[in-house]
Amino acid sequence: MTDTAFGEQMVAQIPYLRAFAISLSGSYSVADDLVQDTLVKAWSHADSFEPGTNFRAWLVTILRNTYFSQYRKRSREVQDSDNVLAEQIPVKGGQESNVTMQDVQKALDKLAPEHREILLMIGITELSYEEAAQVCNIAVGTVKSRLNRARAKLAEHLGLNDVREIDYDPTMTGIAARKSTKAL
Amino acid sequence: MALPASTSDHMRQIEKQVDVEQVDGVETAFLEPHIQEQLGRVLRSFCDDLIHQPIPDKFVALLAQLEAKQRDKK
Repeated sequence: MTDTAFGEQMVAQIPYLRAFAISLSGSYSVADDLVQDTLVKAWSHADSFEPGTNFRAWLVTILRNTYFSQYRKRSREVQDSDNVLAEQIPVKGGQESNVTMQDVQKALDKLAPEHREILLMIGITELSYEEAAQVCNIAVGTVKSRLNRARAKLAEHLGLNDVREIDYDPTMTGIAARKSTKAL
Repeated sequence: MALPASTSDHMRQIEKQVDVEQVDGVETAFLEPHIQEQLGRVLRSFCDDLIHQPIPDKFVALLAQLEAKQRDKK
């Protein structure tokens, strides 16, 4: 890969890396430093990327290793002052429930770190189970069970068990809605 | 640095589909379908919102810098 092509590929991955970093660390400032470190490391280890493999998964591996070796402690320290998603942006509207971005982040923060990272790897960086397993160096079955635990816990923390019906308002997020048809 | 092993995209797609079905089967054991659906929507919306946040210019500048440095070396 030429340097320019490599750089362009990295630029395309930044939104995913940053979203993953924000939610993993719970802090914008930590996330930005983490992404910056990841980009520099990826650049200097460019020759360790195997062409034909998932480029994003490779970057996520670097980001995750960097986070656990250097940032995890710091993100806990700054979390109070640099609270991520402090604005109460609703992720979905409805009469019975008004779940905000902050609610989701808080619920994510309550998860076990190994559960949270799997949920985010699948949800944000859209890795396959196999790729997530490789990034974390665990079995695919472990990825699935952690994902299930994470989802069950998250639903509990969000109080979804108490809510019967919620109308999804796509205008709340400004993002193309994926309105699923109600199960009959 | 641990690197993901190579898998053909086609195979991965097939495996992924099977996995999703299997996982959904397991998930049903944990969560009722309507809760699962709600959670799916909340999470999708949360993740999409984060992914679509504006990217600070400094990252693009950083990559341009790294590229320029590389060019000078050669």
